Amino acid sequence: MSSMIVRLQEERFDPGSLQSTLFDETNRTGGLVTFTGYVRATDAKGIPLKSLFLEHYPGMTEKSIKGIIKEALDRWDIESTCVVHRVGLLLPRDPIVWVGSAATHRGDAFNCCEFVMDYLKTKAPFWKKEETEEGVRWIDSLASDGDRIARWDAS
Amino acid sequence: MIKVYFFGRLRETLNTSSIDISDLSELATVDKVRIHLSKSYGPIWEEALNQSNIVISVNQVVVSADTAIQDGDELAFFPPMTGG
Repeated sequence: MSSMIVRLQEERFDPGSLQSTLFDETNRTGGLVTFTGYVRATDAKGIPLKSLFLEHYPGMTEKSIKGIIKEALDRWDIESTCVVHRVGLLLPRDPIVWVGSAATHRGDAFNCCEFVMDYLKTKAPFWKKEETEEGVRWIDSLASDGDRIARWDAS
Repeated sequence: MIKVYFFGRLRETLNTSSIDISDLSELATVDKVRIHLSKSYGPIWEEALNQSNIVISVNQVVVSADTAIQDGDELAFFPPMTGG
């Protein structure tokens, strides 16, 4: 039986304690892979970032992430998966997203963590708006994010 | 009646978070709702809702333009997602 936790929150999180909590809830895990996404200090042009605003679609965002995890569970043998994603106003170098996947064997854990993160970037309803001294700008989606999804579809 | 939500850049451009539509008689699909809204509220709505990359969801699931709608559905129009 595999467990999943999905949490959206405005508050900062501590990656270390999320990892300990996830591991404590498992009993057959031999590998635990985690990913932490952070707010970059600058925008794509190198201009210092003042803030990053994360908008989401309450209800659908949680549902989408759970759907992505379920797809991962169909592909790999995972004991537990946890996704924590922040919303609202964030500052440069703040943690935004944390994905942890625990499995008996590391291959499954690596694949699950990367799959969930790749799908989350393009299939979960979040929208980023960044503020620099030049003003405020909604971030456009990247073609490279779609390419990463295509890679999983082909495998 | 259906409720239509807008998110991200689209919400800001339209200056509207959501709108209710009561008369569904001519609005069989999500694309007909999009066209109806694009023609009803002036040039800003027309341009914003005719962008080719708009994503549409019904009852919180992303759908294709020809998806049929029913009374009570929750629709949303938004730009491509940029989370993570």
